[in-house]
Amino acid sequence: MIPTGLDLVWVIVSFILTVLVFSYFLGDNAVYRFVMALFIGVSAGYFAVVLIFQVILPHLVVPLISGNRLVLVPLVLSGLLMFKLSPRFSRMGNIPMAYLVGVGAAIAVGGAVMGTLFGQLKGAWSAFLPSSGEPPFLAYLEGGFLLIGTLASLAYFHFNAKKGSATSGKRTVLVAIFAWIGKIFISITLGVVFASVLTAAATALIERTDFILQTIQLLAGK
Amino acid sequence: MDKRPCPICTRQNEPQETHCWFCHAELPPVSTDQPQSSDWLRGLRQDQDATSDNNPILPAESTESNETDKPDEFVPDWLSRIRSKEAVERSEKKAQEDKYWAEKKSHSGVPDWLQSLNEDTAEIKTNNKNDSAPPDRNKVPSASPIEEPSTTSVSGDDWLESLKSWQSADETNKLIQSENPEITESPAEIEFSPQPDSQVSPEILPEPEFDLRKIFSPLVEEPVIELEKPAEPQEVVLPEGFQPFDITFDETEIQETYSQPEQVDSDLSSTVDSQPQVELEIESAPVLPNKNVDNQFSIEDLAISLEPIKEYSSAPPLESAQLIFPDDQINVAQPLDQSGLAFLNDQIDVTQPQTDNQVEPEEIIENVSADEVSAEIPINPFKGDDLLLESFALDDLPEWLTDVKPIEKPVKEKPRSVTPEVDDESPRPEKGNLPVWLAALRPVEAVEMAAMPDEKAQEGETPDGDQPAKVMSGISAATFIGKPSDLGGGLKVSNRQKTNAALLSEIAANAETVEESEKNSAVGITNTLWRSLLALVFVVVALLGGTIFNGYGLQPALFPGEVVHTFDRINSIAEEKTVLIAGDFEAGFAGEIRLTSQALIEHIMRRNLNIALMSINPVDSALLADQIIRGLTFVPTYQAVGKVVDLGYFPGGAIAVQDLGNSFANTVRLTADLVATSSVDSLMNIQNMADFGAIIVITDKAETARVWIEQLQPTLNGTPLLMVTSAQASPLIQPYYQSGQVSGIVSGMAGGLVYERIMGSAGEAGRNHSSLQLLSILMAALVLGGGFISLVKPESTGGKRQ
Repeated sequence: MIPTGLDLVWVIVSFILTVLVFSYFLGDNAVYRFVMALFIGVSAGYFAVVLIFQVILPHLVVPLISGNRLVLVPLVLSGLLMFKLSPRFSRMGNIPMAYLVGVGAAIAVGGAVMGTLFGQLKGAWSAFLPSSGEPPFLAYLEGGFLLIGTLASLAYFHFNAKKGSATSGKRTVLVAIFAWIGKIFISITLGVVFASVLTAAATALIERTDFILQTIQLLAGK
Repeated sequence: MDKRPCPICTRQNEPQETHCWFCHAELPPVSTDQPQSSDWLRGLRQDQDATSDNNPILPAESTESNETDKPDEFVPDWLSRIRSKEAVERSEKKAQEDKYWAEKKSHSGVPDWLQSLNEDTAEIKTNNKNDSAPPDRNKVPSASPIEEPSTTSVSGDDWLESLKSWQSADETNKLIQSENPEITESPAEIEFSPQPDSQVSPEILPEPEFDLRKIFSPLVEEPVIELEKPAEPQEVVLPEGFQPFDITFDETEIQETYSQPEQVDSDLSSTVDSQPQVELEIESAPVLPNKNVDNQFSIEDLAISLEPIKEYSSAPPLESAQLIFPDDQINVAQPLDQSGLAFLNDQIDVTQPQTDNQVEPEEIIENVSADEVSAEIPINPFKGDDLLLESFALDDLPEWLTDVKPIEKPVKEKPRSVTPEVDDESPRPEKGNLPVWLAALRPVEAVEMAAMPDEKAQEGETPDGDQPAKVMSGISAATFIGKPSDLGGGLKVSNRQKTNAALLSEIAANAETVEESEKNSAVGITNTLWRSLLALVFVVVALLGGTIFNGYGLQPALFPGEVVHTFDRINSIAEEKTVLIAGDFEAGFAGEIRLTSQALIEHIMRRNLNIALMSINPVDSALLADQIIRGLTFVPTYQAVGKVVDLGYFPGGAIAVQDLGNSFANTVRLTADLVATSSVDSLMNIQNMADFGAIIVITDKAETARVWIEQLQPTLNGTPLLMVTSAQASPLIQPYYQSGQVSGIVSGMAGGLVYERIMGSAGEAGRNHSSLQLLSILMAALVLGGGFISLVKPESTGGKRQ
């Protein structure tokens, strides 16, 4: 689809801004800072508009007008949160902050236990179950490998030692072996994560270079 | 016999005296025989002087002191302090000695010399021997150098009769007596101590109890006593006959004392010694400039001048030695005025300057601290009371004394206020004119400290004039303790050191400048070049992969299971079901997310499924809408207007997700267009999240994906939860896929490419696949190359040294 009209203008603007951002390759410069400031400003403006029209109006103003007194609670809490702007009355904002932090912590802990801990235990156990048509040996091998990797990674972060033993401060032999194996798993995992990050950055570069190339082709009339 | 001039005040004293009658300064010893005085008292003194000459200590000490104190000799600070302290100690010893002799005299009520003159000495000694045995602590060792010879037997019938003739009262002395009630005190209060003379061997017998040399030369005997008792410095062991301080003067003794000017003065000093301040005033006499003292005293002047003496004796602290002036004593004063005034005038007549035995007062003040000065500076005794000054006629006052204003009471309380006055015309120490180089080397704190006392002087704390204030400024500066503001101000640096320092600083400055500039410029240029070069390489490779090398990339032969499962889940969704697409990613990852999720969205559109867009990040709603628009280009038959519902931004993060899992209908009541969700066809039958055909979460962070999995997955009841993530979040979400909590994952542009291949479409991921592979190779090469260089040459990469 070839953009025309206003879309073409925005394509050209996007092209220029992308090239200006690439000027950072030559070091920090005013052009790059201008683009970044423009991006931040546009994002903030967009956020404000979205929050007003998609949060405050539908979830606070409209219910309040319609007679829903329950929204007074978030209204009061939001009003108390505004006191955080004043150092003198910032203590008034501790109430909604305490509410938010408490609820957030409770949700995070509950989700971690129910979603991650139990879910991963179930997944580790299910790895030993062969799927349809899969030889049980491979399932055991895969499940065993996954189990060893999990235990070894946990053993790497096991820093306890026997109390009062002559080798106090040193891991036991079994824990040391598992920790060494776990270090390998962790290293592989971090390497994969690093490679994934590089891949994500390369993908972003590729997307922008493709946009530049498409725009050039568009402007060239090809 | 010639009169002996005082080396301090230069006044004439009697030849038999060992201390100046005026200033109590120690007189130099007389080696030659002195002519006999016609006065009966002089004869008596001569006899006593002859007796005291037997003591070899006094001349030796005097000679030694004269040898050490030479005129114009440079006296260091420590020596001047030692001398000052020594003078104080001597004065204290002198007071003890006076009390000792006062005790001796009060023993029988009659001085021993008088007893000896009555030729009853032997009998009296025998009686004293039987009185009481002396305590052991008062015993003097046999080796004690204080050997007091036996009293000289001098026949004195003639002078005794003349002495008796002096017993008549004088009106002037009566007046003095009336002003001092202590004078009329009863003799019964006087305590008598036994005289253990008989128990002492002749070698250690004390001197005659009224030995003038003994009285006036305690300063000479003090060191000897200290040598005797090195083990007990605190407890002074007195020889036999010495008594503690708790004694009073005998009435008759005071009579005798008052009859003689020397004795009056000695008693006065012993009395005043009990008060430190008075002691200072007594000893301040030597420092007075006394060149032009008019020595014409009248009898009224002398009488008035004795008033402060009586005041001192009546002061409460003077309990140890109260000065009592009975009537008889005052009667004795009359002939003293008659015969002694001439003597006094002769003594006051000063013709000689100060000699070597006295240190210059300014020199003392400059070299000692303020406290020491306040305690040790000799003070003019005549400044202690206004009456003393008023008794002198202005014409009779010396020139230096005429400038002295009457001493004010508040000024008297402050030690500094009694600093000796200096005549304006007298030579003052010239202000130092330091050379420029020396002034530059002076420490800054010295100037600051010198300025401090000047300010105080301006405030009136030192009203005695500029000169004392300047002198005191030096004292304060010496005692000022503070951090030097310029430690290098007093350093002595040679020219060679200066040259070396200058050369070194120049080298260091050049080295730093060159090094920093070169380093900064080199680092900046290198970094810029490397960054520009790498960026250019990456951009070129990306462009080459999209253009020249497009189609040369390796196509995936095996599709990942998570992507296949995602495709299968989408294909298994019923047509009437609505798919919830929740965007939770940053705008910066919009390009990667679009390459990843575009094929999946097109797949949903191809299936003509209802789509509900929800964004946890405010910008995601618009980005997802843009992807729908892009998908319409490939799926033009999809009716986006009726099939796609934008629920808009949903704030709250994990709390909002958890709320969604509880009840979708109660949580999301309105769409982005403020339309009730219950009125929307695609959302009309959805009460919970499990009612959706599938939930697709598009995110760029593993933490966000984990929140969705943790909070939402337990409530889905079999509804597939699909993840479209950035490449960087894929490794951390993979375990959830392995555990079955996530039904499928499409991760990164590679996942999008696989999805496109599964769908059989040619999307943007396939077009840029070659670029991704080239860049991956380039990045792998850089990582391996950097790791190899770091392994071979660690210092070049700034790594930690083992």
